[in-house]
This record gives sequence, C-alpha cells and structure tokens, in this order.
Amino acid sequence: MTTARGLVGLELASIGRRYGDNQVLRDLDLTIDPGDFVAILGPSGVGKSTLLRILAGLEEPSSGTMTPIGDVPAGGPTARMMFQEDRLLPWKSVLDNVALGTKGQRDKAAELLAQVGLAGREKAWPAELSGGQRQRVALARALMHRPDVLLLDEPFGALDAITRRSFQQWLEGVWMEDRRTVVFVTHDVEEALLLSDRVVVLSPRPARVVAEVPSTAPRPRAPELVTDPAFVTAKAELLRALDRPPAAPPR
Amino acid sequence: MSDATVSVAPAVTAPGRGLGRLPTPHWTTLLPWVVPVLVLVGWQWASSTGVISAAILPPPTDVVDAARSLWSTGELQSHILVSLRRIAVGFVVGAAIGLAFGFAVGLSRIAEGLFDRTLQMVRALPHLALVPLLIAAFGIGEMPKVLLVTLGVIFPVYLNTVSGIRTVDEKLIQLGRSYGLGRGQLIREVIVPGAMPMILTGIRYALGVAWLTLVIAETIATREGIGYLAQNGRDMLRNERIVLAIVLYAGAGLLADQITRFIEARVLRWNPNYRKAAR
Repeated sequence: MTTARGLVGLELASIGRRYGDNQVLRDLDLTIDPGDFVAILGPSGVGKSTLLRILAGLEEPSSGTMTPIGDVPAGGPTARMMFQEDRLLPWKSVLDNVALGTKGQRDKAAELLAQVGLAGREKAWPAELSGGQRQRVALARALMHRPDVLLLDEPFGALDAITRRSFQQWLEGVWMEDRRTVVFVTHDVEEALLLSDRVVVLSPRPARVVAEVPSTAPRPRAPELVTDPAFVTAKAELLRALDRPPAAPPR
Repeated sequence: MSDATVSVAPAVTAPGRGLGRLPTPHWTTLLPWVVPVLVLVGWQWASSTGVISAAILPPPTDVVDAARSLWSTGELQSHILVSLRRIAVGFVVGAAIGLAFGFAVGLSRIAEGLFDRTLQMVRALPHLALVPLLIAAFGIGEMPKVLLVTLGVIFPVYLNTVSGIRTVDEKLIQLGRSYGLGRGQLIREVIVPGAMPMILTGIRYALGVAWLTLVIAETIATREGIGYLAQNGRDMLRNERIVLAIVLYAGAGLLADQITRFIEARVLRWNPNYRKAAR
C-alpha cells in the first residue's frame, strides 16, 4: 500500500522485432502508464509473447526504443515475467521455487502459496502437481518479488473455468493493494475486460496496435459485470478489432 | 483444504503402481532368483559328477572352501583391500579431473576452446593399450595400476558432465536470469542440478570401466590384489582361486553399481523416474 518506491511505466516507440526474414513486430507504439493494468489481446502466434519478453528486457527490439517512465528507480525498473509454461525448477520444492532469487523469504513464500490454494504442498516436488497447480506456483513466484512491472503470459491458461474466475478476482485484489504496473497477455476477451484498465489489440504479423479499448468499471469487479451493457459494447468493439484485418485467416 | 480467498481445484496426484500392472502376490518376488539358483545347482552337479572337468571349472563348494581357507590366513582380506584401494584412489582422482574439466569446458567458451579438442584426441587412445608403456615407465608397483584406472575414469565423467551442462533446459536458465540469480547462483541452483542426472550416469559408467581396467592391470604385473589371486591360481593349477577372483570382481562391481543407484535415488529424488528405483 504505502511503499517507498513509486510507480513505473514503459513507453514503446516504433518497436520492431524480426527473426531473420520473419517480421514479428513492426512500428509498435504503446504507452503503459505507471500503475496501469493493461491487457494485450490478439490471435495466437501474433507476437504477444515476443512483446512481453521485450517489456521484460529478456529480448532486445530490432528497432525502436523502450523508455521507462514515472518514478524510475536508480538501477532501472525491475520486471518479473510469468511465462506461458510454468518453468518450475523440477529439483526444487514448491516452496523453494516460489522463494527463488529472494534471500530466504520463505515465510512470505509460504503465505503466497496459501493464497493460491496450495497450503500444505510446500514440500511437494513440481512433478507431483497438476498442470493447474504448477501454474499457480509460477504465479506466486512472479508475485514474490513485487516487481515494478509484472508481466503475465496467459497466466490462467491451464486453469479450469471455475478456478479461473476466482484467480482473476484474487489477482485484481493483489493488484489493488499497491497498484503496481501489470501487463498480461490473454486471448480471452472477457478476461481482458474484467481485469484490465485498458485492452490493447494487436494485429496479425507483423503486429501493431490496432485498437485500445478502455475498461473503466469500478473495482473490485464482480463476475456479473459481463452482462452489463457497457461491458457488452466494449466486448463487441474488441471482437470487431480482432476481426478487422481481412488478411487474417479464419480461425 | 478450503481457503478464504481462493477455491482449490481437486488435486490429481495419486502415484500409481506402474502402468497397467496388476497387483501381484508376494511369492513373485522370488521369481528372479529361480534361474540363478538353478544355474548354481547345475554347476555343482556337473563338475562334481565330471560332466565338466573339475580341474577347469571347480564346483561352487570348492570355491567356497578356497575362500574360507584364504580368509583364515588373512590373505583374502589383504588382496581385497589392495584392490579396493587402487579403485578408490584411481576413481577419485579420475572423477575429480573429469568433473573439473567437464565443468570448465561446459561453462566457459575459453576453456572449451583450450581443452576440448585435446581431451577428445586423448580420448581416442584406448587406455588399456598403454599398459606396456606404463609398466616400462613405472615398473610393477601401484603407480601404473592407479594411473590406468584414473585414465579410464576421466573420460566418461568428462563427457557426461559437458553434455549434462549443455543440455540443461535453456528456458530454465533464462528464467533464473530473469528472476535475479547471479552467475554463481545460476550455476548452483539451475545448471548443476540440471546436469546431475547425466553426471551421475557418467559416474556409474566410469565405475564399471574402473573395475574392468583394474582386472586388466592386475593380471599383467602384480604381486597382490584380486588379480594376483587369479594369476597365482593359474600358476598353481588351483582354478578355484581363479573362479573366486572372478566372483569377487563381479560382487565388487555389483556393489559399486548399487551404491551409485542409491546415490542417484537420493540426489535425483525430485525426478519421478529415479524415485521409483529408490523404493
């Protein structure tokens, strides 16, 4: 809530990324304001994950610039990414996976594990968990570090619909505690609108931003929001934006 | 296990008893011993009735008698001890060298450029072919035997360490970096444990090579050790001593293998494949 560190955002200016002849991103402009909760939406394989890796600093753009904005700490902002695959270290217990890279903050790790519904499984090996449980461990690990920018690549992809809802609400609650910047990738239109302040739609490759739709409903948001007329209008707008470029192959 | 904030998905972690195997009654645990016991009984019968010449292959009872009498004079113990010492020293030195070079080459491009080609060339030499040279250089003392074991152990350990490190999942290394692990931490927490299955495979294989090397080294020029027992038996036409030596080698190899399996099951207990073997 009240932390010494301020909020950090990121400004992307005409970002391009190519792998050989394969132009994945081109002239991508995007401003992520400090404290923003942004959803990135787009068809599979357009380069959403590439964009996220650039935001995380794991990959350099081939062209364009990325500048941190807001209350930028001296050593640059910290970013933590939750990957699409859980990437748990199989030789570390669940608890040690969550505490990875922290200096022995095992109590905090245990607390986070309890919050994602895995109390009592601290000593389990990742191989003993189900796919959904592993993803929850990865989510807890990403939140452990309280990064300036939290990047989530389809964080709830492995969860069933019911668990998914409760985790969306939980993530919103965690975010509301200190409102640090979150960028998450999804291809679920409703999830994007339910969670974020702003939904960014990418075009098929080479990806650019083709639409930005604000989602302004007051928080915390109830699941019933999906039937609200404003929500339905925004959803229709997003679906149109996703459909827009005729070059996109059906499905 | 319900939580205030988040509902819990049902856990699906019931470790089954192997794939599609039906539960089996207790007596089947004896099944693997049927054939070895039959072979032993057949051997005893054949060499005591003269079907096999007892001078070539003495019956098991003679072998046991030989062991008993050598034990009572203390010879057997001292021979075993000498052989074990050769293996231990040669293996530890060889494994240490193999691990050191393996880690250096696996982790550093400079070390790879500097050492890998040379080590690959040395590896092409069959180390057993060095026996005459080593005897010429060091005589028939302990040195050539230990050195030969060392040479046999270095390369399996080296090669498996290098490829173990190379095959650590790149994604996990990227994960470690992006979660703020420094180089030392990355090596300790990601690379070493990731390479461990292959390193242990290399060590198990190297132990096998070590015993085989010792058999050769001890039979050629020696005055003590299990190999000497066999040579001595041949010279004195006491074949039960030769058979005893063979049995001792086999037992030692088996024991070494069991020890590494035990270590694997401990160190790799996170891996379901190895955990099964530990039970």
